[in-house]
Amino acid sequence: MTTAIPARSGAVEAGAAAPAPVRAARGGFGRFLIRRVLQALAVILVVSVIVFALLHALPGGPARGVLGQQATPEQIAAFEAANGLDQPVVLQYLSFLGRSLTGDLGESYLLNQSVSDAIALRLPKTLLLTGLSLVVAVLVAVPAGIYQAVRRNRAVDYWLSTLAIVAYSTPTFFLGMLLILLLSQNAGLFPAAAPQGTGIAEVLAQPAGLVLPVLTGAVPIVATFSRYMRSSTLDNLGEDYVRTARAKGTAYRRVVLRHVLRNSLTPVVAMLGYYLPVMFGGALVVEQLFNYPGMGLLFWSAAQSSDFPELLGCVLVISVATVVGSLLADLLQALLDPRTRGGLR
Amino acid sequence: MSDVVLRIADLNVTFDTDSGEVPAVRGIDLEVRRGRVVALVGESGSGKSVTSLSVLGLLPATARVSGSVELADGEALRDVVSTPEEQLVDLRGRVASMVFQEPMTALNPTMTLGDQVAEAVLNHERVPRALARERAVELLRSVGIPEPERRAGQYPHELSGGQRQRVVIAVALACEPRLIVADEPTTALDVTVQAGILDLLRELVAQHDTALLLVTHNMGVVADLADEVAVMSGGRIVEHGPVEQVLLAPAHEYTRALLDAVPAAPPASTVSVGAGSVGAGSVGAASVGAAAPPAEGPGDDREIVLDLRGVSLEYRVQGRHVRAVENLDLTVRAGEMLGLVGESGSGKSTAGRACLGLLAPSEGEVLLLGTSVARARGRARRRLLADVGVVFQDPGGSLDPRRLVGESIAEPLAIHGRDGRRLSPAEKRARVRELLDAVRLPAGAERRYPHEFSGGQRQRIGLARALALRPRLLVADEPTSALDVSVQAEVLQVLRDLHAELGFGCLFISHDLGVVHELTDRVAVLRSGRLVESGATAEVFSAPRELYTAELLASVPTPDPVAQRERRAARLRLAGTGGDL
Repeated sequence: MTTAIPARSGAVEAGAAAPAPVRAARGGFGRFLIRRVLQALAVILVVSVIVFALLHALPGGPARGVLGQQATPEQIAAFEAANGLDQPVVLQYLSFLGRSLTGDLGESYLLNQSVSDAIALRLPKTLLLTGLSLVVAVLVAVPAGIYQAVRRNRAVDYWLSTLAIVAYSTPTFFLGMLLILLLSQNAGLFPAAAPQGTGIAEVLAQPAGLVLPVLTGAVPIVATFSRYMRSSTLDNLGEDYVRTARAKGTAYRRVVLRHVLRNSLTPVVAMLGYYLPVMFGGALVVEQLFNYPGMGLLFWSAAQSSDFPELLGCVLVISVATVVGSLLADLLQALLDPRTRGGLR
Repeated sequence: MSDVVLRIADLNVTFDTDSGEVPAVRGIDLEVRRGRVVALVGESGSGKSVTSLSVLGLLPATARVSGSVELADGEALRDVVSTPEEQLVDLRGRVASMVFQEPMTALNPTMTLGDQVAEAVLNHERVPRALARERAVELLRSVGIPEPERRAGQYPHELSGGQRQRVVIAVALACEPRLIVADEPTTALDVTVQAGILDLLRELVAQHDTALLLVTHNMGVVADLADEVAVMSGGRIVEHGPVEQVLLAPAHEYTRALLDAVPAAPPASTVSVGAGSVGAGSVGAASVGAAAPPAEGPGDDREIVLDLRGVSLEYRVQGRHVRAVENLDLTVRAGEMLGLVGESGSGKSTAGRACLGLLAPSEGEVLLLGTSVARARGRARRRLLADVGVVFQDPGGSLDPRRLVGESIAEPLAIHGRDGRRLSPAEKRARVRELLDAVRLPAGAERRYPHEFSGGQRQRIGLARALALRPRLLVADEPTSALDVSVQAEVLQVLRDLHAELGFGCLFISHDLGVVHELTDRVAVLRSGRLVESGATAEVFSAPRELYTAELLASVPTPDPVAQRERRAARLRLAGTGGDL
């Protein structure tokens, strides 16, 4: 089965078919967008307040976390004075908010660099890794799900289902080690470590190193998405419009690729929106396993050491991604399904 | 013999299920000739839909088929049963095509209407896409879709049910097949819309000399359209002949029973009288909405159990208020049956919800036994609503599938008790048995689950539950619309007997004018949320004051082919006098 063609032709159709109704509702669409962006900002604001408050509720506060159990009260007081932690919480929050509007997320306590620099360094690498995993996963899961639905309850369906359950229930670290053992140690096909280097260009220069991390990230997503795609396709194959399409002499293959595919993609697209925060948050286990310092490791180390500004920065990035992800999912869904466009007005 | 477009010989269809083989069609023979309309009638499970699907080889994979289904392709006859799927694709749509029951779901929601019609053309002809699109627009025009150029770029959800069915017909017509199989093509539609679709089918068949295999349970539709009728029961054709003979002088007892169960539509002649009066220049009567106050018998002093006073009802749809019912006045007295009729979207079910206290009126008052439902709170409200029973349309969905029938019926007893005290388990059991007996279900039914019963039995269980507390008012919302006619007749008989015995007031909501005509004392006609007309059922139906009522009545097909011809003529005359339908 050709994997890329169905998805691409579906997208082209959507693009070709969409203009008329969307144009009719364009004024409404602009309003919808503005409303959603305002909603998004409100959500991000609320999240930042909650995180700020929670961090301040930590016993000992960031100073104890950074300086360790042996720190004297004088050292702690000096640290707090130096980092403005002796100010009232509300003032601290307001100054954080003011600075972050200009892109200044503060200085990391530990890394000796600004938070925005630390994120700017790691975010592209994480986006590359998880983005590739997601693309690979979708390209495998969508055709696999359709194939299973068309061959439902036959041997191939059972085998793929079993495989999906195994893949889904295998812990990521174990899967990663297994892949390293089989494909790197034994077969020697790919390196066991991810590409090193600070810039994205350096990473891209060593594509072989990306194979195992991307695979490790993709397998669990394939397992989930193919299940969704299978059940969604099965639902649609039972719909009346499939019978109508067949009754006018449309070949079964075409019924599946032209009629069923687009209708079945809607729930999967909704899922995709929820994977965007994962892409920004990074996959901690994969990054640790393949020694690939991305957002996941950054978040982890910040949490471990109470690196207060770093933590806030990471949470902010992830909450933005969450909100943008659900917005994108809504828009994609509207593109796929004209019925949901009414809700955009 | 070259006239034959479909010949079914000794067709047997069996389904493989977990509980063994289930025969659906048992050896039927049927022939359809060019330009003829052959109706295949029967109740659910008779095998008529399976037969229709086998004509295009669209049966599911679990079906085992034997015998032959031959379609005329040019001079040759091609057997669908023995033809492999790859070659069937070439026959479907070109030689024979199909129109389905559910216009709401029969079209792909994510493809434009124009593309869906054009696809039918492109499946069988090597023409440029642009040309196929033009053809699609022409086809949409020919089935009576207004502004076909614009509609072609729209999606199914932007059209009404009737218009979608027209699009499905356009798809079926695309390659000018010699046979169209129409499986319940108007069952999901309102009567006035149904009348339009039937007109369209009749016109198309006459124009193109296409044969039509019409599958339906509606004898009125048969009388309106068919030349021949084949009656199916238990997978066999029990009677087959010209429409006049089968409908007017049925030979087989099953056909007779089926026809007897059809509720009598108001007689055709009376519709003409009503139509005549409209035609005679009573222009004022045509002003829909200026309804006369509900006519009540002058000496009627029975207690008013339900009183709607100037009730308006609204829904919120995406932040906007949509008015479903406007300034509605209705009364139901104890022991009386009021029919509330109207087409989909007329607000009749919304009005029913308000009577159950499920929806608060935005204006006006709903009085149950003289007390305002909206103002009652807490215990008083619950006690008030205990006096209202309700039966819903879907007999399957309104019973908890995981609960024994006896438990479902006893639930209102457990909640409300009787005369302010709780009932003992023995008392509850006795009452449940009494109720099951009243709706004529066998002893022991209370210890079974809903899925073990047929649709008609489940609806009677629903009725038993509704009557458990001896309500003063029963709201029945399309209680028999999902049932076969013979089953409907049974359920209605039970309802009628219980009504006579228990003397509750009944608000009977229905789109089926025949049922309302048979069952109710008074009737109220709703249109777009407004009361059009109300009065004694016999009077309203025999001499409607409003044009809309007259048109509604004339749209109901009667199972008498001769009378139906007159009716159709009367309806078309009516439409000619300026009806806005």
